[in-house]
Amino acid sequence: MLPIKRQLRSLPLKNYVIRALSTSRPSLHFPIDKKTSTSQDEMDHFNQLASTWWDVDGPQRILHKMNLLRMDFIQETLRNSIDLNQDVESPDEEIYIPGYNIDLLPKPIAEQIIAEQELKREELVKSQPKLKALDIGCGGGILSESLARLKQIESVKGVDLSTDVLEAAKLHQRLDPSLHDKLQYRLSAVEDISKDEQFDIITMFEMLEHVNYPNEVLKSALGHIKPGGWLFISTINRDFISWFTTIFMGEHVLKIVPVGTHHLDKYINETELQDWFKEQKDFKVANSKGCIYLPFNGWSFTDSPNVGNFFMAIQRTK
Amino acid sequence: MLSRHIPNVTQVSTTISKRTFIISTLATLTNSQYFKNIQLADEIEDIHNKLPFPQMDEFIQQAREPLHEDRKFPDGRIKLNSLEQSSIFLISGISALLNPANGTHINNFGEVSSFEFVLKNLRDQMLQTSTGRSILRERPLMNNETLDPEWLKTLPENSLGFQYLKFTEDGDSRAPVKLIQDEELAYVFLRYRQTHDIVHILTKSKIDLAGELPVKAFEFGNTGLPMTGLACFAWFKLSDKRKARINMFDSFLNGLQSKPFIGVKWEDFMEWDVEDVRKELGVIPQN
Amino acid sequence: MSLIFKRALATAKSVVPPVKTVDVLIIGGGPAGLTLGASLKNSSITKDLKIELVEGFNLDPVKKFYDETPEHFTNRVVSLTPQTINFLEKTGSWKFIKQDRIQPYDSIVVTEGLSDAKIEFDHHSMATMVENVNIQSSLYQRIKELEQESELKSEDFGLNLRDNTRVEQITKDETNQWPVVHLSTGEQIKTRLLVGADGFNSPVRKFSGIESRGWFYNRFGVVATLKLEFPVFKYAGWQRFLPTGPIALLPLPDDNATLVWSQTVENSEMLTKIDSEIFINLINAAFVLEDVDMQFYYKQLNKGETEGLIEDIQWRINHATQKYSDEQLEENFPLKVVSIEENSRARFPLKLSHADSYVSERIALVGDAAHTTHPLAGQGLNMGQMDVQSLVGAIEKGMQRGLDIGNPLVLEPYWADRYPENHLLLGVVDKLHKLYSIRSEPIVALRSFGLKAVNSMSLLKDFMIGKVSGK
Repeated sequence: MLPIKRQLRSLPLKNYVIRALSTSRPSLHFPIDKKTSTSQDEMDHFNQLASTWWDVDGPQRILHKMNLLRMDFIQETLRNSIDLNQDVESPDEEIYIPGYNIDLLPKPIAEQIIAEQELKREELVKSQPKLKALDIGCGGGILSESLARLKQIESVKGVDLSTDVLEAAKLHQRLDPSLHDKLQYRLSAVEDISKDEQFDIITMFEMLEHVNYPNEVLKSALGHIKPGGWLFISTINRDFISWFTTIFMGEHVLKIVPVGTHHLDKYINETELQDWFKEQKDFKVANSKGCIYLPFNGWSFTDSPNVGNFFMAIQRTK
Repeated sequence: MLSRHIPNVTQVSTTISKRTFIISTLATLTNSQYFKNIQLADEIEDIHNKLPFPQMDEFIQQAREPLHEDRKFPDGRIKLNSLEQSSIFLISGISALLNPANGTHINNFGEVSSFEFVLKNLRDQMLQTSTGRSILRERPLMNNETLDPEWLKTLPENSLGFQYLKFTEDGDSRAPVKLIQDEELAYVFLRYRQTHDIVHILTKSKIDLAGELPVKAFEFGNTGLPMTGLACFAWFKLSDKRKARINMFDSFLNGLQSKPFIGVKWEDFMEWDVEDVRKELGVIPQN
Repeated sequence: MSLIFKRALATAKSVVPPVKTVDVLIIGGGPAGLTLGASLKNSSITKDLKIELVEGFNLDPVKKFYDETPEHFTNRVVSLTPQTINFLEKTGSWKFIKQDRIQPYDSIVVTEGLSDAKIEFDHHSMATMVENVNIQSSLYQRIKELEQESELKSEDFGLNLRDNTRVEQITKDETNQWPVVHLSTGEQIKTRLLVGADGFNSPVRKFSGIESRGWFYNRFGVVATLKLEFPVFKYAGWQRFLPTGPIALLPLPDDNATLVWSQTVENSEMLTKIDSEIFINLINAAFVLEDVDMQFYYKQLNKGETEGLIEDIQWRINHATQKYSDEQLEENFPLKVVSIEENSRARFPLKLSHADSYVSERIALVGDAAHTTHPLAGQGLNMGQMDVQSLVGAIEKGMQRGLDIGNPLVLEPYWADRYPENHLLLGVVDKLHKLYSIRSEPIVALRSFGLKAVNSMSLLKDFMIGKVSGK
């Protein structure tokens, strides 16, 4: 199980990004004007960066693989939140949802039930307004692009504090015509986003463990979520397994990320987050899952969110 | 017990009466096999009590009872099971060895020792050429009816037909095939048998033992029939003088290198000069 | 020289047509390509993809087949497994299959030419014989139906079929590296994902640089559509392994049947040319007679000597079958072939090939473009259908994850899913072909013993049927 440190992968940027979301260290940010004038050398640099970042067989392969799991987690959470029978007026119109594992039914029947549910779900999604998403710590845009390609997403805003990775993200965005109108990147900290900007989905993956004041960052993020909207986060439990996999194996043995990338004391336990969100008015934890990296097999979900890496989905109830 | 068509069984008992254990073993074996055969069970009901040896004569007597019709094929061949076949193989083989003058033993042994795969191989040689196939299809017999002696007589002296007539004048027509189970293979064997005289003519071999042996060696090379090969061992019985006169191995090689005789339509060669026939088929005559 | 110069001038003058951009460009309008197009449009997840399908040949016979069904059976007939049919049902195309032209069968009798070994597989509707054009037509009809159901204008529906169009060249777009396919019409299509359903000589595979390994079997498959002496009572497939290659006679409705006969290069050419009466007799002979007879006939026919051949064949067949009762004849041999559909004889080379990979960046290969097999197990088309099913699944999953469907991360699971299974099947079929090409007697004895042994083990047979029919 190897940790994913998107920003840290582009080694020259490591220092800027480590505190990416900590407002306490503004000096580490690139000067804003840096991106207004781009020389040919810099363009080459960005191109190089974009192509390494986006090479699925390159150094970021584990991150690309984890992105699959993130999207699965988001999709599953959104799907399960849809009440298939929300607009039903008579029981006849109800979509049958068995109260037990559907696989217990004979295959053709199970398939038919699932097909019916899918059809209804699709109808509901279609009838609902499209969603606005904010990807905090978007890096090279791996998750931002994925979100932007979903049918039910209206627009995605990706923010990061590194000009380099944002330039790389923008370069890559241009390669796919379907992303032109749906995705924009901004050099910005979450605290600096205008209070008026509200989103249906905010994502904050593999970020909290690098932040000095996670609670401030989380609070800022929550302030941008529309009623009924979602916050998706992922981070690492503060336990022996995490130390062994992310620090001992990841940094020292396999040297996948530079030594010093992680600090065990900044890891946050799943239970601590659960407790923290219980105190937040109008928010509830809707989904929480562990995940594990198996060599040769990629990432997969586990049933133990309190060991190693984990995902969490928080919904604003009002 | 093996049937009246195999009268040699009686001779076996007289010829080698001292070797009682072989006969009694064979008798027991064949008897027990017969017990499984319901059709014959009635006939040999009491044999079980009478065996082994002291009642041998009676047993043989029993064996000479006429066969049920359903033990025969329509063309007169005899249906045999594998144990019967092996019994005849042993009995006729031993008899032939001890009494080579008796043609019946040799005929029977020749038939039962021609295992299916050997005959199939011969048949396949025939199936590989148009002529061979037409022989198999038309199944011509070489006898006085098909090769009219009056006609053969009119042919030149050095023609194959005339020579053939001379050679078979003694009325030595070839025995019908009795013991080969497959009817097509039975014909193949018959054809081989009817070709035997031609081999004599083409290899210029006489019909005494010293003449017969090179023919056997030639046939072994040409057909691969086991009996022809086994017959070659009789060479050891020859006097040294005669041994020196014949070269078995050359004959064998000659047979091997000549065209397969089984696929030759001799009927069409009757008017040919014998020398031309030899050239055509690649046969080198003795001396 | 002057020609080249003129051409160059002409090119310089001509206006470069605008490049069309699509999500999926399928090269090849065979069953695999059409199934892919129909399935993608049938899936709620992928139905909005803009798809273009390019076929080199004329698809008019496919388009017309449903409404103007030809009277006679065509000679390209395949055996579909229940698994494939299930997939086509899900795609919604199976209902457009002309049901009176297909024939399910319940058993297959396999014998061999060098011994009397026999194995019989029984399973209700273990496979179904369907004409290729029937499958293609059903898919075409399904695509038309989907277009109507979408209530979109045909240019907005997003699945454009073009036939009589060849791929001239494939290049890469300079800015985003997407494949650009240059067509014989002069048009260019830029695509997010380029799918090669373009057969053994796949231009897409060549463009992708994916290596394909394999060999020519030195055999051709001779096909023909035949009439039997009377309508079949029990529908069965018949296959006999001859040393020159297996011959298979498979049922079509009523008294019709279809032939696939693997033959040496020389014999296959001869078989497509000889008098049809002799051809028919030779088929009947091939299921009954021994190798030596067949070899004699091949020899004669290759020399052009046909006199008395039919009588000879009939003599041998009578001779070989006279010992059987009518019941035994029915059990051991197929019904006699009495005539052949005119112009239905054709031959095609038999090859084994397997691409090292089925995917690379923005490229996927399906069907024969990825693998070709000896037809002795009738698995070629079914493998292609399973490829398509798997690829559609991978694309759906990729779309749900918001990925670019040309991304190798989307396509790799398809390859990982299909490669091992196809590889195993290709290997087994190849070994079977080799095993039955041997004439050596001990090997013949051994394999006949093996076949008989398997024949007596019903559990193992059920397992094998399951494997082949995909149950």
